[in-house]
Amino acid sequence: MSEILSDLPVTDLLPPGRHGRADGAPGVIAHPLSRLAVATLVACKGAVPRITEAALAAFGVALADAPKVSFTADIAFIGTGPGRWLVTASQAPEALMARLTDAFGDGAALTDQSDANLMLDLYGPAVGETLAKLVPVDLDPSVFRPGDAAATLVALMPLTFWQLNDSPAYRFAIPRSFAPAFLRALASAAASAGLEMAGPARG
Amino acid sequence: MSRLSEGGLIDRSKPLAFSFDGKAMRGYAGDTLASALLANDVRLVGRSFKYHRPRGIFSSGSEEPNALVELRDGARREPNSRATVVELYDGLSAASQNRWPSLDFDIQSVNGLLGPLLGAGFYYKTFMWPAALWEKLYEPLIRRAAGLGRAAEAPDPDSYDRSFAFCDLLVIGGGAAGLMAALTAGRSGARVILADEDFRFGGRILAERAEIDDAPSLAFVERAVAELAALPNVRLLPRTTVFGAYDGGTFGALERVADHLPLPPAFTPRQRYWKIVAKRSLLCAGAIDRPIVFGGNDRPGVMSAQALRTYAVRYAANPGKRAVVFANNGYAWSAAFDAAEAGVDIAAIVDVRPEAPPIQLERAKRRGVRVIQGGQVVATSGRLLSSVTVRSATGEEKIAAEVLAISGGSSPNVGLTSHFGGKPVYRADIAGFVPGACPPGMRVAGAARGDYSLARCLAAGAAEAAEAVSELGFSAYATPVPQARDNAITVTPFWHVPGSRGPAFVDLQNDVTAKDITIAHTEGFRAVELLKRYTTLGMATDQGRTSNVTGLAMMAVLTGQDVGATGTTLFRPPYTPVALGAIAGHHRGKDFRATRPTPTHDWARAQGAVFVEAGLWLRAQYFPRPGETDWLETVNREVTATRTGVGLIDVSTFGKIDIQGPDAGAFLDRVYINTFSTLPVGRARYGVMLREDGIVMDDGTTSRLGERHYLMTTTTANAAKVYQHLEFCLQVLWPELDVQMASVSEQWAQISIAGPQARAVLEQVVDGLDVSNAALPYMGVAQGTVLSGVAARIFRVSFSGELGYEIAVPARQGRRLAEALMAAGAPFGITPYGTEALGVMRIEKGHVSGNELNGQTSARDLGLGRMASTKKDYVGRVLSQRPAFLEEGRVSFVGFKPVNPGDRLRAGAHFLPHGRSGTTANDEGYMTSVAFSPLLGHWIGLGLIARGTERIGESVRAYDPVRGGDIPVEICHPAFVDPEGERLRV
Amino acid sequence: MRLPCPYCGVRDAHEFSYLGDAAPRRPDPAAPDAADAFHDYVYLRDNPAGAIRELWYHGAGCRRWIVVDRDTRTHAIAGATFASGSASGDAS
Repeated sequence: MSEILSDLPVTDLLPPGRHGRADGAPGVIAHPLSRLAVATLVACKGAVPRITEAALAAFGVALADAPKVSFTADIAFIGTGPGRWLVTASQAPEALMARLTDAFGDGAALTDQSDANLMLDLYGPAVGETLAKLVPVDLDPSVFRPGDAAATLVALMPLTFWQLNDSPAYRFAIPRSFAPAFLRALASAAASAGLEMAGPARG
Repeated sequence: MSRLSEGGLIDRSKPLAFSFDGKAMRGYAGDTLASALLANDVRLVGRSFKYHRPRGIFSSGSEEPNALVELRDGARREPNSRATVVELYDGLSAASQNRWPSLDFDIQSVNGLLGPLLGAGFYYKTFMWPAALWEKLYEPLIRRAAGLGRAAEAPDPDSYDRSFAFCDLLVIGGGAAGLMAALTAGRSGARVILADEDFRFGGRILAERAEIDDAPSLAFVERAVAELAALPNVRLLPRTTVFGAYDGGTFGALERVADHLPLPPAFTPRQRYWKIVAKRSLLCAGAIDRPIVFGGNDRPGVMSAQALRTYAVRYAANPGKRAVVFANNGYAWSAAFDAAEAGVDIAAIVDVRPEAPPIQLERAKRRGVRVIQGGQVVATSGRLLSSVTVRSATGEEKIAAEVLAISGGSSPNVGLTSHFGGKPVYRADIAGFVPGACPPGMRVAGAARGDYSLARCLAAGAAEAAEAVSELGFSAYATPVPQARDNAITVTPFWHVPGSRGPAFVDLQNDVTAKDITIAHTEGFRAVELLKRYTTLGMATDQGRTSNVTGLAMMAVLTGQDVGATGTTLFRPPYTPVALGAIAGHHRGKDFRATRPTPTHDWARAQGAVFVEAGLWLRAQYFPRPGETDWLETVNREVTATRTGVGLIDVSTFGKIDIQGPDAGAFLDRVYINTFSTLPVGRARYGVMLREDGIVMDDGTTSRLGERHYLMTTTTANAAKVYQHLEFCLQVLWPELDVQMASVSEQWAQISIAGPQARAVLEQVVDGLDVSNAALPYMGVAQGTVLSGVAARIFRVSFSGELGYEIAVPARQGRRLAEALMAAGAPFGITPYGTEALGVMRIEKGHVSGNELNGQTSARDLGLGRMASTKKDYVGRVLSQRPAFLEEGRVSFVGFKPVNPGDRLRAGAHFLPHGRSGTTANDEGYMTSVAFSPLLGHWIGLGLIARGTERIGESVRAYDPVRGGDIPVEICHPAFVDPEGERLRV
Repeated sequence: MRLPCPYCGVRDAHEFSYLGDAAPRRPDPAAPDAADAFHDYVYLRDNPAGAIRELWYHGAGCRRWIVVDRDTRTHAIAGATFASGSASGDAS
């Protein structure tokens, strides 16, 4: 248990800096992303084929109707349910909504969610052992691979995450009001390995 | 010291200091507390549960019924720790428990004299009458007398972890069978977890002098563990008890991460709770020695034969100067021989069998150990055991001995196999119960299924593991099985020495005697489940692992049935006790559950807000100012400032659901009692939704943002429930509707401003948006930007009854919006208010809220019946028309004011007609909500009363016996403020 | 208990909410016997010892309602499908 947790108000975000074990390199690095536009994309009734075609045409993305990430350098579609995706892109929320509206027209419902989540990247040598304490999903490389996504319950909080690469690094979308509680659970789980909480990213 | 001069798996280069009952002692690394106590000549370690009889150490494992101690001090004190599994560390401090004033002299051992009163069923008999004495006399008496250890009184300073793990094969138990199983599965490439409750792998090999592949068996253990540790697909979990088998291949396990250290190192948990999901499992939990029941069998010094061997061989601790072995089986003989070789003086082997196998007689002769065949122990003596009386064909003989090692045969550790209800099956040839139906995916190998031969344990571990992983598609290597030689073990069932002298204990932990079994039989409690509950046999923390089989076998003898037909009770999780703190892990204290701050939380904190929990949310309750002496003064100020000027509150916690699609309007018509498909774009409407049984589920405003785009709001409390309900309607009831939903509760911060000056404030934050009464009328919705370019939605809605707006901006802009509104409102004295003032104003306005939407009220009850459309179907319509909802005496929603204006109203008070007594028959309804109205200068209330709307002006009693309230109140219209709603429309 | 969500894969039952028997269908509200039919629909449930098809909501996952084939005696799960009836769960 990190000392800071006993003093930090439960409503505050874990401050940037080193938490838990202080010696050596941090076992886990947590990196918040503040400039990512996020939207939900929900296909209209029977429109998944149309949405899939449009995604290929407009973004060059082969959209999977599954808990997978389909992405290009520019935009990512994360499957969160049948005919349902979370879309992320490094641009202004209005710009992303405009692009998606152009691409999908009335074939899908679009909702801006850019402020709805804390987007957090987690990586580092102890990220696996730390996430085993939090995530009730098998993250073994033989089972969960880069491009896999899961919506699940972490420390009693519903959230979505996906694997970015095989270093491994993961991206978490944490409902904003749960972010302080999530970071407390993370600090607790990563205390033995040492957690580096990075400041908000500029990108 | 009784430390044997050589041998043992202890590290004599690492001496450890510890204390027991304050006395300083020394042991070695590798000791348990029990072995160290024995090595320090401590034989008396505790007092028994009921009769406070002196007790020693019975076993060498987790089945220990006697040697329970308080471990550690202060906030880390842990009662009922089994000394037999506590790993010794430097500085360990332990104390005996359930004794006063001291272990040697315990005043309550007088309970022994009361024994006849405390026998089987004593709860039901002795203390039956007079019943009034139960609470005052009997229960405190029993509780003080019959005790276990004392729990720590301060919060636990240590941390506890939890972890998820997934594997192909979970091997439970790391003895001969378990190690071979893990090797076989590990070599096949399967993901393997090997867990053992001991701090060292090896199981009985650690305590037996045996050879594997013509070398000491310990070498096999070391090779196997080294290979397993090197396999990346194998996880070794020593000090880990798999305590429960659950559905879907899920297992609970407790790892004692730092219990063997003086203090957990920094950032290390004391214990870790593992939730393991295994495709297959293999139980290799071994077997334990079972006692024989005879008079005086509980004296300190009486222990299992297996324990004698373990203390002598594994720990080099001699449990006493001379030992007698009393058994009905050959395994006890080899235990005696091993102990003798380790240096224990074996005075005699007493075997109930008239003729023991010749090979064992030969081995005894070779070692010079005396054998008494056809003998029985009929009595013991000494406060600590000093002698044993043996009856044989040649008469009775008293043999001096400090240790009596007993074995009535082995009981396989079948516990986990019966967690799914599988009944263990009796095998007469081994006189023991073996696993019956196992949980899905579970196999059993080795002694846990009654296969006691070391050679066969090794072979079965390999074979069962190979089959398990083959089922999963792994090709198991033809692992060569190491060779071991052992003799066949024979056993003759023998449970109880008839005619022995002194109390004969069956269940040592719960002090259940042979006589109790007889009483249960005499009084008709013969079925094993009744026997268990009547006598408490097997109901202690050890779940009767050393006593159940013997107890029910004795019942079988009394009833003349065979043991198999009598059957056995089942074991339940946990296999051994588990601390709740370990299961809670991180979720304790303020992390018990998540706390959700609103987008303006930090701002409200800076304003000095007092917060209140609303579900997981933390909301501002009120904003006290210097000089205000109580919350009511603050709330009155906030209400008055809002009604006369303008106030501000964060309402982001309301559920917000984006509803889109061509059928969105039709969908809302089906979930609300009123119509939304006709709502014009840019307008909001108040809606009520029912459960299918006709009861109100939730209410809120829903706005139309576009032709096929609506935004629903729900109450804070029901946000998740309503979303789930809507998904049910869309996916299960009407999958043909083309509607898409998304929760936007987290996306938008929403702040309400209300009061006559609300528009003047709003005008200053919008970016050129026309918010005049004409452009944005009551229940109008506008979309645009505020604060120079922040996307915003503005809803002209009101909960307070004043001119009001709710302004929504992206969540991260919430604080900025609050600050901008405060600045813009400063000239008007804008006042932030909290949930208390909000509650006062809604009661003054007569709006229903959570207290009225209480799961018992219909729309009609709440005066909302006229909203219901008669032109369409909606959820709950049919059943809301049931006669009971329409009958004449049904309650309705009205206001109440005190007849004497100084009287305080209480929510929860019941209404009675004047002159009637406070009985259920006269009950007419109850007060749901009350508030002090600063506007009216007296308390006001809302409530439900029979035929309320017809009784406006009538006076009734508000009867509140719990708080001594009984005052006259007048029934009135629920809207105390502006009943015509003129203020809303200015 | 672990439930096989057709979208998310096998997950712990903690992620789901239970509703009950999936067999009852919401009756026709316009039928002459609607009051009785709705009474049965809302209140009357079979409670079989054995196989049952029941509704669960994957609230902490994909938010789909699913129909799970479960044996109430053993908790053995034979499979699960989307409650909306389509293979993709796309409410189509």
